Formats: sequence, C-alpha cells, structure tokens
Amino acid sequence: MASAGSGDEKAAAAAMITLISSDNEKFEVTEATATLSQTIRHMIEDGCTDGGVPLPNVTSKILARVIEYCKKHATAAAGEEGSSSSFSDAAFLEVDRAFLEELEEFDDAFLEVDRATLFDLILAANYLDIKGLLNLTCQKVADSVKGKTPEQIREMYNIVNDLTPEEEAEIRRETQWAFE
Amino acid sequence: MSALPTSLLRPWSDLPPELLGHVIARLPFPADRARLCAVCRDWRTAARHYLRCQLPWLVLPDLSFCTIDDDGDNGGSGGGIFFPRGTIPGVPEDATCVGSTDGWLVLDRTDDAFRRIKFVDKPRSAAYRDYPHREVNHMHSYFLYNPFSGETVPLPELDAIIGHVSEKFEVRKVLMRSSSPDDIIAIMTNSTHGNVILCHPGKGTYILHYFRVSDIAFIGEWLYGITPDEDLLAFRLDEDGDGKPIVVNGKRVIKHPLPEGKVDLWSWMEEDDDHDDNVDDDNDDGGVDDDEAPNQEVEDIFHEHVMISDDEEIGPYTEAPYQGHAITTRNLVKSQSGELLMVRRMYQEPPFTNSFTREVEVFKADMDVGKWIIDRNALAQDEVLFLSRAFCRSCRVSGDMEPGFIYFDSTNEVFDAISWTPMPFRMPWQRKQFTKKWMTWVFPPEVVV
Repeated sequence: MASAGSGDEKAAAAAMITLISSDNEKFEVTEATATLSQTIRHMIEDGCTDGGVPLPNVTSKILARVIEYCKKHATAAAGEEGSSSSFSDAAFLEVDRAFLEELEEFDDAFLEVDRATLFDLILAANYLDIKGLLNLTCQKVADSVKGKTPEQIREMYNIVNDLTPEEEAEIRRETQWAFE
Repeated sequence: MSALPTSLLRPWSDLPPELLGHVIARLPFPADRARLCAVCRDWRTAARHYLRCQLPWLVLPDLSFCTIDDDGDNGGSGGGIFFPRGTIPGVPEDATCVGSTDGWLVLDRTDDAFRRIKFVDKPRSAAYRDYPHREVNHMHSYFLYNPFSGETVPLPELDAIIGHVSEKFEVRKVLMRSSSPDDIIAIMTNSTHGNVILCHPGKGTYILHYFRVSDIAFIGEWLYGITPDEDLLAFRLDEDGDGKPIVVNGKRVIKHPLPEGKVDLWSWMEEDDDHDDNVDDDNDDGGVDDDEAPNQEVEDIFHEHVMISDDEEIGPYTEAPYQGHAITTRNLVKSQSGELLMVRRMYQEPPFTNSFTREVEVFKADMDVGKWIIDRNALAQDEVLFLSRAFCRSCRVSGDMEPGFIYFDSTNEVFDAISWTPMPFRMPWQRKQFTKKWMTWVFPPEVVV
C-alpha cells in the first residue's frame, strides 16, 4: 500500500502522466496523484504510459472529479507516510487528527453529488481500483439506504420494481422481521 | 459528446453485483440487508450471494463496533479485515458496553466514564483520571439491549447489588442462559464477595459469594466456573416459587492437588456433598453463602474488600528473543456436541512489537473422572470458536468463518485448530484505544433468504 515509500514519491513528483477520458479530453496529473489508482500504477510499472493513458470507461466529467479526489488524497498519503504500515499504532491518529478532519470535510463535500454521478464514481473507482474512493462512495450508498424500506430505496435510486407479487410475498415471508 | 445523458439513464439496478457487495458489507444490520434484497430482481440475485452469515461483530466499550469487510482482497487471511462501522444506534450517551451474549448487549449507564473514553481522548476529558481509584464510587444502572430487535430489559435487581461500586469494580462477563431475557443471567465480577450474581430479570437475584472463578459457562441446568488453578466448580440452578434463581447443588467437579502449605479454599464443597446436596436452602442462609444474610451486606460489599485478580496468569518470559510477558488465559466454552471445553492459551507480549500466540491447548471436561482431558480433536470439522474475556461461543461454520478456527480478541491472529498453527488475522486497531479485554463478540441474527 502506501509502503511504496516517500523516496519514490519525491522522485516522481516532477513526472507527469496524461490521462485521456472516453470523450478524448486530456488531463495532466502528477504521478503521485495518478498512482492512487492501482490500475494506473500497474500501467506505469509496466512502462506503458507514454502518449497518455486512455481510460475508455471514464468520461471527462467523472475523471475530473476522480482527479480532484486523488489530488487531495495524494497529498494526504504523502503527509501521513508510513501510517498505514503502522496502522496498529493508534498514536498516529493524535498527530494527524487535524489533517484527517480536514480530509473528512473534503470527502463529505466531495460526495455532495447527484445519484447518477455517484453511480459513475463507483464504477470509475472500481475500474481504476482506487480503494479509498470506492470505500467512500459505497459507504455513501449504504448510509443512504440504512433504515429505508424497499419502496423508499426504489424511489431514491429510480429503480423499477420488477419482482412479481409472488416473489415479493416470498421475500416478506422469509424476512418478515426486517419489515416490522 | 457528453456523457451526462447516458449516465442519467443508467439504472441503479445495473450496479455490478460485486459493487453491490461492497455496499452490503457497509450495512452491518441484517434488516438493512434483507430490505435491500426486496428492491428489485437484480439486487435480490446479487444480494443473496452476499447474505452469508456474518462473522460476529466486535463491540468496544464505547459502543463503537467493527464488522468484517468481506472485500477479500483487503489483506490478511480469513477473507477480510475488521472495519469500524460507527456506533451502535439507539443507546444512551452515558452507556458503556460491559458484556454480551449472542445478539444481546449488556450496557451500563454510569457517570464513571473511565471505560468509555478512548485513550486518545482521555487527557482531553474532564472526566479523566489517570487510573481507577478504589475509594471512588459511582452509580451504575444495568440493562440488556438487543440492537437487532431494539428490545431493552432493565435490570433493577442488579442495580440494587452493584449499582454503587468502586471504580476498581468490574463486570467481567454477563451470560444469558437462553436467548430470552426471561431466564437466568449470570454476572461474573472481579469481587470475591459477589463473584457470580445470578439474576432473573423482574424476579430476583442470588449471589455466589466468596468464590474466585475467572470464567463461567452454562450447560443446561448447570453453571460451571473455572478457578485460576483450573479447578472446575458446578452449580445446579433452579428457581423458587417466585422465579428467583437459587442454587440447589454445588460441587467441585475437577480438583487439582495443591502445592504444599496452600489452603484448599473449596474443601467444604466436598464435605457438603457428603451429607446434603443443598449448598443453599432458601430457609436458612447456610451453604454457599456466608452466615450473614447476603442482602443486608450487599450494600457495601464492593467498596473496600478484596478484588479478585485478573483471569490471566502473567509470568515474565525472558527466553530470547521473546522477552516480555507471557500471558495465559483460560476460557470455558460449550462445544457443538454439548461438552464443556477449556481453551488454555499462552500468548506473548513483547515490549515493542505485536503480541503473538505461543501455545493453544484444548481440554474436555471429563466430569466422571474429574479431569481435564487434552484433546486436539475436541472441535467438530465444521466448528469454530470465538473467545474473548467477555463472551465465548462455539458456532457451526458459515459465511466468512473458516472451519476449525479459534478467533481471539487479543492478538492479530486466528488459531487454526486443524493444522494447529496460529495464522495472521487483522483485528481492528481501534481495540487498542481501550484497556484491553473490554471488547466483546456480538452475533447478529442470520438472514435467511
């Protein structure tokens, strides 16, 4: 994980990577930012990033948001270097508390998006293999459905109920306690 | 070409199953998972796959809890790592978790915030003092809470006994005999004067005074207790006409020879066995109890008197390179086949590195012979054990559990009782924010879909 070390990051600070969205927009980012994505990290390691990294599954709108996230969290990763390897040590929390709070605020604001954007962010985070972003977005979805009825969830996420009345009855029978 | 219109059309029912799985992993409550299944057909198909029986939750004293993240690729073995999921909802601000049984939590509302406060918060808190003081007392009010059903059962009978106690006083374990709160509950404390308190909510209590058991387990009508010398005591429980718990028979089932000069504290149990099975008769206060009527004394029994030492045997271990403390714990647990097991475990606490297991031994209690029988095959093929000071349980393997594993709360390990080796397992570091051992397992009800 972040144990790749600060040496690499410093050396790579000047190296820029070009990311190309599905609609052919180009984004220049630092290697430290780009390598928050495991997918891109592997491409860099394999040396196939010359001429830009095409990301045919990610639109420019979403890629811009993803880069915004990565920039912020790449700074964070550089700031708390080594903390993930010593995750067992609670003491680091004390030191980085203020910074983590700032990061949390950023994350909260970052998630103020419509459902469609959230959906695309989840897919992008998964495709680019950005663990933190995937956690963040999936947590957002989980929080939004907590304590909600299936009807409320359908309405919230524009989902058509394609279960037959028989299937619905069966589900209710099996898990009646969940609907009380 | 703008992507916006397409993304707006993208239905959420198309969320790939593995991504819905990530969402489900973040919904620890079985009711939320079940409702997700009822949203649409695609989600139902996807969600069913993830609705395996969960690993139990780890609940910390401040009622924050961790559940396994079934991402699989998150490092460690055993399919994931424990991940903090916030705080158990629906509990009062001043509540501390002091124990659990299956899906029930035992909570203590108190102004003694010592346990509830994380280490990192302690110096900031007005309620903080550096360590618990024997001479300082606090009010406590105990209740059972089921976070899955929302049920709350107050325990005023318990408050009457241990509702005003020293900061040194600890509830070590609270065991419910059955899943219903309308049954006997055994409360094990660190006070010799009320080592085990039996409580039937709404009915009454019975105190087992002057014992020194460090772990307890129910098997049917019997409550078993193990002493630091690995003697096994057995108490047959019953209720009087009013539903108040009573002990009708107490005996020492397993006895060890004592070192020269050490007084056998429990010899009277055998004597009692000879003439009368009743160690306590409601009409006279003999037997287990001291001669004084227990209820007159309980008011102040915890304030000044002897507290029993921890359930652990701690010895220095100096053999290089393992310097530090070697800690031995003994847990009682009822196996799937209904036998009483003792798991004796020694782990090492080196000064600056992580603790690790040195040895695990599993014994069966042979009540007829009066011996612990060491047995590496005591666990069934599909059996797993979850051990902690506060709650121990045997389970049939399901979902994320690995057959033959013994899960602990004290090291980043799980013990594989098939290959008989410890394996790395990532416990949440959050547990280090509290005095160790104040963490318990909670078993969410299974979702059947």
